[in-house]
Amino acid sequence: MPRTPWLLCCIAAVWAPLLVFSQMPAERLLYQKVQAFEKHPHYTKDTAYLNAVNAWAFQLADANPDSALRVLARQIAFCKAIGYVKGEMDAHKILGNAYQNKANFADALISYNDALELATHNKFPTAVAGILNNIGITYSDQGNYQAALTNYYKALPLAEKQNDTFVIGAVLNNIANIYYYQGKFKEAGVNYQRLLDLSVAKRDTAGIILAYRNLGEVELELGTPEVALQSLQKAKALALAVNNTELQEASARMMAKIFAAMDSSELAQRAYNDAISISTRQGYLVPRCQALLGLARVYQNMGNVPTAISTALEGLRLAQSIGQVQVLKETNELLADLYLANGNASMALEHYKGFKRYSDTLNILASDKTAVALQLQYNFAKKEHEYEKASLKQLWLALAALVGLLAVAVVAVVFYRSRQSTKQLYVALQEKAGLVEAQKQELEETIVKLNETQSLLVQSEKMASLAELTAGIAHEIQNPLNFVNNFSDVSAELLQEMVGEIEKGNLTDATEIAADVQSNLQKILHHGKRADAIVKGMLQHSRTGSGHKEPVNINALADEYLRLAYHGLRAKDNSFNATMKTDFDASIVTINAVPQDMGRVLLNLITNAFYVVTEKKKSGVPDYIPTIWVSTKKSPPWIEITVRDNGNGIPEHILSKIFQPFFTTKPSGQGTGLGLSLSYDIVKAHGGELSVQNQPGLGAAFVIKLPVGVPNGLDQNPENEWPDD
Amino acid sequence: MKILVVDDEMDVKALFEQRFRREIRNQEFDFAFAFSGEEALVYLDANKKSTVLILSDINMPGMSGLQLLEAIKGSEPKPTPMVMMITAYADDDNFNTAKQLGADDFLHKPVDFVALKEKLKELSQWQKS
Repeated sequence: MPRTPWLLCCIAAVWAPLLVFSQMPAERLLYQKVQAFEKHPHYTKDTAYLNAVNAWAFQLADANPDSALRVLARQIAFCKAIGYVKGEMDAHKILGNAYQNKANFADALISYNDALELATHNKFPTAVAGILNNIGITYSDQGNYQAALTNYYKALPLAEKQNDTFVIGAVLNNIANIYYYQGKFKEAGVNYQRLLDLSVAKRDTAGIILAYRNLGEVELELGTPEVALQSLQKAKALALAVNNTELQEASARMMAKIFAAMDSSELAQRAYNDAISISTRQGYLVPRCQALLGLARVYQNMGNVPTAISTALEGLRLAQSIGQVQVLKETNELLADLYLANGNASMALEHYKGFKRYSDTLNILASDKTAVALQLQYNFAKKEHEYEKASLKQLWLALAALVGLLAVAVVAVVFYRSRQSTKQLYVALQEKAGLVEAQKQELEETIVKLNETQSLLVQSEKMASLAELTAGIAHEIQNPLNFVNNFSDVSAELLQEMVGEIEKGNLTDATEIAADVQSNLQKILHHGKRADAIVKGMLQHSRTGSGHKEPVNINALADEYLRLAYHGLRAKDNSFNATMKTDFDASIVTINAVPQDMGRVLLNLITNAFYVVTEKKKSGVPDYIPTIWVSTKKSPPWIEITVRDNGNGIPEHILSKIFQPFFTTKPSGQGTGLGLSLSYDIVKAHGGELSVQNQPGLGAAFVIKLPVGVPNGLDQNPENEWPDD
Repeated sequence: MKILVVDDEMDVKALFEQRFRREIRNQEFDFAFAFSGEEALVYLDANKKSTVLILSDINMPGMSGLQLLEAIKGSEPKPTPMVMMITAYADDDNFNTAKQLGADDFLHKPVDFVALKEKLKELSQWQKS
């Protein structure tokens, strides 16, 4: 018996509705439900109505794909209008089914991918596996088994994660189908057996029936029709027991096929009639076509050509009405054979042309399977030759010869077109490969540019904060310089006085003055060092590249940057003022950090705090005292540095964005939007955490947590001593 | 003459004590020091009557010199001590604000101690007369 892979495709399609709507009521019943909704005003905004349309369209996609396409176009627009994403997603999926039934695989894939995108973006994980499964079926129908398997194996773990036994079963079945198509019947059997085991474990009758039915198909191919029959008997009995008409029909049709293989034509005829009566009653159009085709073949084997032709023609008309390309192809092929046997070569040619046209439709869509297409062309040519020979035996030799010539010409054109399209495909692929390479290079260049821009931006952020600091630094240097000048000046006076006292022989006073001068020299040294530290700090702040960690007195660093920020802002804006409160935990001596980096973080947080309190003050809140608090505390294993303000806090809707690069609430030109982002990175690079505690309307507190790292008090280094002022 | 110096820089104390060592020795001037506005107010609570002059920095963490000036000039009983403001930012805004708040004089940093000494001596003379 010839292999009929499309049959299994259709079984997969029968299986697909079971994924969502088990025991689907007849299409007419669903349509009545839809009509009932349409009596209500604003029904298009009712999700219950939209769900009902999807349920109906699901059936329609199978029974009448063209109608389904029209219904679904409207349905998608309705779902979009009210933002009903799930409905829209289901509609795209069903649209995919409709296109697939029309063998329009390209559009089917687009629709399934639309559904997949909606499912992925809107977090409908339960739907993703099902959609991937349908995508797999589409590829499989095109003969692209590699892509089909890729999608099935993506769907399988997802379905397993969701414990979606319907989809697991469907995927296992479809994987098995591919083995079946490839003639690997044993492997197919193993997978159908897995489906059977799973379905038995889950008490999923539909799955059990399908598994038995498909195992029967495999056993038939393995040359054991008796075993196949046993499987089918089980399937049929179960389908009857649970009153699943779809699977009753499918089992009956399969049994008919087995009987036909066993040359039990009468039994086959009876089984096909069973299948036809169920499908007619239930409105299963595709299965009815298939059963009519099978029955016609049985009549052909019985030698009853006229009945075979009439049966096949009935199937053909039905297939034409629903646009079922696969069925049309098969039926035309059969009719070509039947007419030839009947001595009607012109009709045979007519149907052969039909067969070829539908084969082309399928094969053009499966352009990536050129080899398969070429094989088919070869078969066509061979078959054509046979027809030609048969026709020559007839009386109307001339006509038949002409027919033959025409057919050969058609084949030649198809051959030529196929070769051309293969060539074009190759050229197009080569071009695409070149394009991809060019795009890759472009991307690499863009990444390099981005990295350069990022470094520049980081540097410009440093410079921007340095500019803010300059005035503060000037003030901070001015104070120690004043002391250096004053103490030097006064010391000169004191020395002069000392000389006078010595001359007077007043050594006690002279010694006292000497002690003062000594103390002054120490102060000069101290303030000199202080100015030096500020300059060093400024240089470190502007330095590019990452510094290395060293023990840092975090209290002194926080205090220093608080002053720098304050004086910096004060210098820029005379009206600026804020109360600053500090609470430093004196037990913290040093921590391991990169001082210039940590200084940058502190400066940024403090400047931001000053900015928000100033803004609040400007808004004219009565009795408002702009205040910021800088505190440190030990919270093992962390040291916490908190910068708190009593500004307006951070609006909830931007809270998640504040650490993002380029996000700023400051007016254009006043902030780079990099401060908090860089601060976050710096703290992270120190193995710490930067978080925010927000009280909308009352203020915010930024908390830097740094690991303690170096034990306190063990690493005091006079070189790193910070000025005590 | 009792003078209160308010500055957050600790070494201001040593500097004044040395710059005015003769006047201190002669008991011409009597300096007290506070290192914040808040500390100054605490001192004045106890010594307001005897304090003739307050020399205050403007830019200090916490209570600023201008806030201190406002608090002193707004306090009872009147007349309040004289207040001379010192700041590194010799600008019109601070000058005007200080004037409005009742500052009696204004000094720029770096402080010219010779000029300051003259001012204080004049004040001392005027007070004695």
